[in-house]
Amino acid sequence: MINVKLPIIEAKNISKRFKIPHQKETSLKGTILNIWKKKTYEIFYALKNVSFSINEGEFIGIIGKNGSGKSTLLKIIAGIYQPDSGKVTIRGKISPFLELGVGFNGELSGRENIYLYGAVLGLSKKQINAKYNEIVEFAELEKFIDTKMKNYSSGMYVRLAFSVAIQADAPILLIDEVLAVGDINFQKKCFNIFNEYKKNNKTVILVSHDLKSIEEWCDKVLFVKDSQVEYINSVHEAIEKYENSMNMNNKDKLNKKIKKEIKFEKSERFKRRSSIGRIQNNKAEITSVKLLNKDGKEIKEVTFGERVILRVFIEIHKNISTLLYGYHIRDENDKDIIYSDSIINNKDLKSLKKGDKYIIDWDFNMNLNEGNYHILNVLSSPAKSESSDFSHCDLIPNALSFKVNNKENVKIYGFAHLEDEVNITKIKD
Amino acid sequence: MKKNTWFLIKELAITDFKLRYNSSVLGYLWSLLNPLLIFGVLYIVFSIFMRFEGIEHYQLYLLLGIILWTYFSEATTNGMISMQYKASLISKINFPKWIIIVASNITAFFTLLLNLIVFCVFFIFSKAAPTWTIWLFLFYMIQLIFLSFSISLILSSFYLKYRDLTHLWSVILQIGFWLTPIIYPISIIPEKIRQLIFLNPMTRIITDSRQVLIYSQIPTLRNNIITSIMILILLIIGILIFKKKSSKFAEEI
Repeated sequence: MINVKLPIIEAKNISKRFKIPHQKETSLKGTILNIWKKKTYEIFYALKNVSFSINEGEFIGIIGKNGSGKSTLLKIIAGIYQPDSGKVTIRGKISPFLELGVGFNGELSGRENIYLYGAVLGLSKKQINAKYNEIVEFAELEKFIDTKMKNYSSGMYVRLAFSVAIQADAPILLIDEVLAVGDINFQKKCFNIFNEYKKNNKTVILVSHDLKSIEEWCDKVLFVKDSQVEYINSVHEAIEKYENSMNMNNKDKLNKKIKKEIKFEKSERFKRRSSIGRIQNNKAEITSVKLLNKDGKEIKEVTFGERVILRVFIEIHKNISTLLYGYHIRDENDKDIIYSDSIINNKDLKSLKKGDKYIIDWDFNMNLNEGNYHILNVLSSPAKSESSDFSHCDLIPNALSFKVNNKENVKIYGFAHLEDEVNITKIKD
Repeated sequence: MKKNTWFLIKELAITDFKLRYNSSVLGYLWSLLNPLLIFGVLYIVFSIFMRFEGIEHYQLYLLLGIILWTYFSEATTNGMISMQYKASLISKINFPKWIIIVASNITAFFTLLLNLIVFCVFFIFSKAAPTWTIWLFLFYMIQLIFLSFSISLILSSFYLKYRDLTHLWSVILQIGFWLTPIIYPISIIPEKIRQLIFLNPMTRIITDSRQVLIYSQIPTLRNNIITSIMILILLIIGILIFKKKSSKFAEEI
C-alpha cells in the first residue's frame, strides 16, 4: 500500500469578502428607520479564489503589504473567520497566536489568565498544572505572576501569551508578528523553540514584516498580494518578489534591488550546455547567462515588446587592462538579428584583477518578430594596445535560447522593430 | 464534546463572577442584596399598603417569584452581551461560542443558588411545611435553565449587529415582570385572558414552583408538558439561529 501523506492544511478556492456599507447601522432604531431605504455597500474581496496546501513539518512564512489580506488569511486558517466560498481542511490542532495580547483580561492576574487562556486553547486543568511553572519561567514573570495584567508591559504580555501558546502542544502553530515586540533575549528563546518545532516535524506559520527572520526560518513562503496568494518554494525568490512589489513604480530602485540581492552564479550545468563551439583563452570566463523578466524571474518565452534583462556573469582569471563584451541575438538560421557591445555603449571594463566577478545586465524591450532565437555571448580584449585586433577571451555561440511570441493585435514585418517616436504636425492652409 | 469543554466553561464562569464584583466593596454580597432589596420594597408595599387577599405565606410567595425572575432576567441579559465581553477571545481564537453563553448563564446561576439559600432561611422561619413535593422543584429549575439559555442564544445572535437590543430587552423585562404573577396572584386576572398569561413560560415556571415548594401541591401534568414543549421549541430555534450567526461573530465584533 502506498502511504500518501495528505497536506496538513489545504485551502481550495477560498474567497472572503467584506461588505463595506456606506453608512453603518448598528442599532435597531436605525435599521427600522431605514428599512425602506436601499442599502448601499461596496464589496471588498480580502481573498479571491485562493488555493494552496501546506505539508506537515513545513515552516511557512506569510509576507505581503499591509492590507493585502494576510490577517484575513491567517484568521481563516485559524478558523476564526469562515470563508464565503471554498474550503479549508485542517488535519490537526492549531495553536493560534494572533496579534498582541491574545485574549488576556487586564483585570485578572497573570496566574488567572494562564488558566483561562490555557483552557481556551484546549488544555485541561491537569495539563496546565503540570506546565504552569514552565510557562511562568519561560515568560520570565515569576515576580509579577499575581499582579493584574493591566499593569504589565507589552513585552510581558507577549511573553506570557507566547509561553502559553507553545504549551498547547498543537502540531500547527500560527504566529503573527510577535518577534517584533520581545527583546533580544526573548527572541533567542523563541528561536530555540522554533528549532525544537523543526526537529519535531511540527508545522509553523509565521507572519512577519521582518524579512530577515522569514529568510532565516522559513522553507516556503505564501506571498499575499492583491487578494491573491502565491505559494513560493524559494524563500529568496519570494522576498525578491515582495520587495519588487513594494517598489513597482520605481525602475531604478528595482534594478538596484535585484543587483543587491542576486548572487554570483557559476554552474557546471551552464558549462556543459554552452560547450559547443566555445572558444576560450582562460583570461576571462562567462559563468552563466540568463534572460529575466522585469520581476527578475528567469524566462524562456517573451512577448513582443516585453521588458527583459539579459544577465551575464563574468569571472576574471588573469589581470586584464581592458575587457570588451557583447552579444548577438541570432535567429534559427544563425543569422545575426541584433548586436550590441560595450564599445557602442562606451562601457568597457578597465583594469581588471584576477578573481574579479561581474554581473552585466542588458536592459531592453524585446522588439523582435515572433520566432526562436539564441544568444551568442562574447568577451574579448585588444590583442595589442591601440590595436583594433581583438582576441576572444570567451565566445559562446549558443549561450541561451528563447522564443518570442506575438503580442495581441501587433504584427510586425521585417526582423525587429526600432523604438520609434511618432510626431504629427497638421499643416493648415 | 471535547474533554476540556467543562473546564473551559468553569474558567469562563469563574472569571465572569470575579470580574463582576471585582471593584465593589461589598463584592459578592451585591448579588444577594439586589433581589433582597427589591423584595423588601415590594413586600412593604404589597403587604402593608396594598394587600392581596387569599395568599398564604405571601413573603415566600413574593420572594420565590422575585428570585426566579431575577435569574431569568440576569441570565438572558448577561447571555445577550456576553459575546461583547469576550470580544478579545473571539477575535483571536476559534472555539465553540456556545460555551460563552453557558458560562454567562452559570454566573447567573451562582446568584440563583445564593438567593435560594436565603429563601431557605425564610422558609425555615415561616409556618410553611415542606413535603416531598419540593423535589419537583428540580424539574422547574431545569425548565428555567433551558428557557433562559434558549433566549440567551437568540438574543446574543442578534446583539452584535443591533447593539441597542439591550435597551429593548430591558424594557421587555420590565413589562414581563408585571405581566408575570410575581407580586400578585393569578386569580386577580380575568378568567378570559388568564390563558394568555400562561403563554409566557415564566408564568408556569413560577406558579408551579410555588405550588411544589410552598403549598405542597402537585401541578397538572398536561400544562407542564405544554410548557416543556414550548421551551424545547425555543431551544431548537435558538440553536439553529445561533449556529447560523455565530460563525460571523468574529467579524461583527
